[in-house]
Amino acid sequence: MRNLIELLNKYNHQILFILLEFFAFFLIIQNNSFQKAAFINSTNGITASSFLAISNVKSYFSLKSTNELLLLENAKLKSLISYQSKDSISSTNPNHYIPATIINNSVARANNYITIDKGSIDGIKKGMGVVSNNGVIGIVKETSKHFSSVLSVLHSQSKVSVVLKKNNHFGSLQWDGRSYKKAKIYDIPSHVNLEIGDTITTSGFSYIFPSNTIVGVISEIKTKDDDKFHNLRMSFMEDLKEVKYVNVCQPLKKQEKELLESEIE
Amino acid sequence: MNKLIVKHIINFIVFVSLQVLVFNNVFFMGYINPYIYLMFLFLLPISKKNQNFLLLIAFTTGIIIDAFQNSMGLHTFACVLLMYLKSPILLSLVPQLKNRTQSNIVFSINEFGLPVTIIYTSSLVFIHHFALFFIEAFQFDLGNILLRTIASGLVTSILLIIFQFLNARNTLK
Repeated sequence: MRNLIELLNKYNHQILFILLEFFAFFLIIQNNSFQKAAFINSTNGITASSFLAISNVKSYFSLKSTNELLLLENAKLKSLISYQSKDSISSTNPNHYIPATIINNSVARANNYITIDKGSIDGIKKGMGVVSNNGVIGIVKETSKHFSSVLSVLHSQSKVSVVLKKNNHFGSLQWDGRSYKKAKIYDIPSHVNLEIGDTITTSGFSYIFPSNTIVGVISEIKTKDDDKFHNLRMSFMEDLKEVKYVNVCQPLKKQEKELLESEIE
Repeated sequence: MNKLIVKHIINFIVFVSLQVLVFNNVFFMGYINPYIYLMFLFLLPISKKNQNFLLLIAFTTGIIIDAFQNSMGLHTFACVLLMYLKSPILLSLVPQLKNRTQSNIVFSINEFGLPVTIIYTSSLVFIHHFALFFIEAFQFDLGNILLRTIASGLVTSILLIIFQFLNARNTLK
């Protein structure tokens, strides 16, 4: 026993080092699983409010380009209204949209997160999808009262169910950790005819994102003759580095769909 | 002594806020993200008596940086590793330090010269960055991790050496 205490005394530095490293590693692993609540993240009061302050300053520099974007969007919406009668705008899964502003964003890490300025008080819940005018942004991971942190599509663990617009073959989109402009698409069988430039949209299967939202276009086809699935890369429509204004989707029929599916199982 | 503590607290505030407010938004060529807050850890003395306390300081610094980057545990792991390896690496570079009687060793470019500073700084930075990128991205391919480590490590090392140079000039005056 005395020897043990002496040993502990002698190597207390090494033991503390190992304990701290284990604790850090535990935090990493705990944070990795999507459902588990991370207790320190950027929705916390101090970090979130400092992000808000930084973002307020930054937004002044981009006022001009933002205005141009808004004008463009206005035009697009007006044309939509004039071309389409009421009953032709029908989506398989209707959504409410909650507009939000991105106050912190990253694209260069292997696991990227986004912080937005709307939280549980505005009706945002875990697992809601976040989209912009030009594509998919991510899925809400944590919410606090006034802020939410979003798992970006540029995260090693986020998968989005997508379909080819021209023939409705579906696959899944996952980022490969390289450029923030591109991502990989898996699970599209190799007999499907594809061309560079084909449009890819969301499938809406999971009811996280609205269906038929444009995600991007195919930019690279590297399929070999004996592959079962296509080896594809696509480029995002949205510039995920510059995006500022997003919409959080609140699917209206998600619960009903999940209830039905659980009854079958 | 108290003056020293105040100096380190100021260092902490300056370098952590520089990191969080400025350098977290800087990406040279798309993915080079310098980690300037390491300067705070470099400026801390090497002390046999307070070595456990120093590990805890590194741990706290890591947690704070992690909170701002949503990367829980990553920087904590890398910072504690860096702090633990600081004194063995310096001692192996400058063996005569072992005989020194004073309890605190403060690294300075004036005392140890430029070559030792470069090797000491860059080896610690590369160990830190490799731990960081490897844990962050072990699901991706190794070539990508090495590229990121080398690119970011070089930029961080250069910045840290410049900072140490400026720091040395300040203390001379």
